[in-house]
Amino acid sequence: MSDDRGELRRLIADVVDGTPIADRSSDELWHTLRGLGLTTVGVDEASGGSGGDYDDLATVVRTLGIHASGLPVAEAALAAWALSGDRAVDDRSRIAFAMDGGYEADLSVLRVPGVPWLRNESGVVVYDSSGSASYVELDAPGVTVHPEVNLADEPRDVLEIRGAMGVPLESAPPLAAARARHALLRAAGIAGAAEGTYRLTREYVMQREQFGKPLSRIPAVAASLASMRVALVQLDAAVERALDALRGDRHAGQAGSAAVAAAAVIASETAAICARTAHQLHGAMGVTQEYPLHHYTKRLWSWPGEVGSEEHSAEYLGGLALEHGEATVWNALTS
Amino acid sequence: MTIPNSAEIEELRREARDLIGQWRDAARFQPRSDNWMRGFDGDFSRELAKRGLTGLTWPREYGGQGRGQLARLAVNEELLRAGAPVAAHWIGDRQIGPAVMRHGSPELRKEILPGIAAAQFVFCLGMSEPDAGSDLAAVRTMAVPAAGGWRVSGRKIWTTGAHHATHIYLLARTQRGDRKHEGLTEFIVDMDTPGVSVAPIVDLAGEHHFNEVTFSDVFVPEHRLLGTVGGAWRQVTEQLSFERGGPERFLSTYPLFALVLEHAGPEHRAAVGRLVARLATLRRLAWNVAASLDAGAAPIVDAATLKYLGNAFENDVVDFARQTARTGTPALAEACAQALLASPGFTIRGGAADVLLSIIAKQETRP
Repeated sequence: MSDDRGELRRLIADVVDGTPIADRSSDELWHTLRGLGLTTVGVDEASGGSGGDYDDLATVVRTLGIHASGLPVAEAALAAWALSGDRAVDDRSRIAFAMDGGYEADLSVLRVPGVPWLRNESGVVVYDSSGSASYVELDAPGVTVHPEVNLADEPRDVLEIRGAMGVPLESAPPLAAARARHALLRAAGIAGAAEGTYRLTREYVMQREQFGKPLSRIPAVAASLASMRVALVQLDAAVERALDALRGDRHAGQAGSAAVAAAAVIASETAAICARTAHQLHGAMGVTQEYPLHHYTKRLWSWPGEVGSEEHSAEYLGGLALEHGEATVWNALTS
Repeated sequence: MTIPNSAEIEELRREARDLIGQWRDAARFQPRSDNWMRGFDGDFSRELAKRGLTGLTWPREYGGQGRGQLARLAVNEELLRAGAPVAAHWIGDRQIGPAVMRHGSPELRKEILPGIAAAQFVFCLGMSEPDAGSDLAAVRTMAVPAAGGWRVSGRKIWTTGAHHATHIYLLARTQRGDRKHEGLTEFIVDMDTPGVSVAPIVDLAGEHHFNEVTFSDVFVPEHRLLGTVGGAWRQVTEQLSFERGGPERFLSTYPLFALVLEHAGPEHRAAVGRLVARLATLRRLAWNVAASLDAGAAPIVDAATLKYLGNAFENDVVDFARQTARTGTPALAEACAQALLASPGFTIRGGAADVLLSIIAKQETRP
């Protein structure tokens, strides 16, 4: 899985396109993706992964977004990456990824909301908010999974651990690196879903005729479509920039984390613009269960806040800028 | 993507910073927003030229530096960051030089390019007319064949810096017909040619940058024709897409932004963060556009996107600065007012925001 990302995109498109859009988060497709090794991209083959790098993983996640699949490839691959220093992983591992767990007041209960697809897995890599990472078997005593879903009906379960915290992962990457990688993969997924939304909308306004001509010939419609494109180009640039920054800053120090925060802020804006504009341009056609648009827009409404809020990213970035001043901001922009 | 010759680029950046620092410390310029259009200082431009910081992208045989667009981006973004007065060479360096390189005869290149690179030639743009603004193909200025060249009559308007210029780029009609995108031709005209006259148009800030330029039976020699007769539409749209994708499309109000960073309080963290996120992304887009140009591509959508988003950012910086200025220093309030009075031009010049969206839509809805 080297640099030929075009091939990677085609591989995923071929697999996913054969599945009806409503089933692109099914167990069956998940097994297929696992079988292809896509859930351990970015982990060395020597450690049991599929090889490839983090950029390959971002391509996988973005491409799944284009095809409206919400399967937790990002989380599976991050769990494998976090585990791989301590133990071997393989494509059959069924491990979820839970970030930023908070303890209840007496420290006896750790609670992590919004864990993707936890109910389907057998174990979970958990980072608590102090940065300790551990591996927890879900059938261990004191571990409970409360099923919840997001707006797109994707599992976002609550993990609750009473008592012991499982096996500490001594070699797990630092919390900041895990957070940055998770947030950037989410931004890449949003970029994909926004592109899928755009493709569907473009096709619709070019085919649908009103007033005796395709909708796209109405200047206000064309301008709205263009504003979606503008938002997409902006988000892709932000994601590329953050990928470059993380490549040069593996442990996600300030430079990497700041670039990821910028991408998260832009992702949130792009998601909102694309969902709103796509629905407007589709008119009533876009609001039915049958028409595929909602498979995209529900994800664009759900995903942005799930891995750190936009507000938090903006405050982090603004705080750095105010603390360090113009020269530091400028160097970060132009380096 | 990896950055080619990054050591070379960083060396150029340092040279630009050194010169800017010397001039600023000696109070030879005041940092201002929009100074790439409003700050005219021939001495500063010639000093940049002496140090090899102009004409960066065209070949050495024409007085250029034979470097790439990424090198040019590094130098220009430092100049914009500082709010330095660069209007004397900006237009010639940005778009006339490249247009002459692409479409000019070898003689025309030899005649014009070294003068631009040395900042001896100051260019203005004779494009817009009273009845041809966003609809540039509606130009009426006529050039008719004459012995040894052409004779031109007509009026150009919003011609920035015509009162300082030594040369004007001229878009004129050489043929009348039903198809207005055909029959247009480009010329380069000396501003001291008999029959060229310049009248000032004072802007709402009380400053004089715009002019009306009248051509009354002006003779233009044959060798000053740029490209092909009647083929200017393609040439000029290409030139405009170069004009659009540069860092001046989002850094016009950067000097104000830098002041705001000094004055904003912790309650402004999120708002500052959102601006920084957009700024960082815009700069990446400018880098992408420069890299595409270096690779020989024509990044029309990316350049239009950059300008569209960049101008919105410039305006949002002013809006945000106005909020913080209420409790800031007089210097901040003054910088804010200056940028505000310049701001209506941002989303108009070089392609109005609405036109940019239609350009993007046209690219995107091709079957």
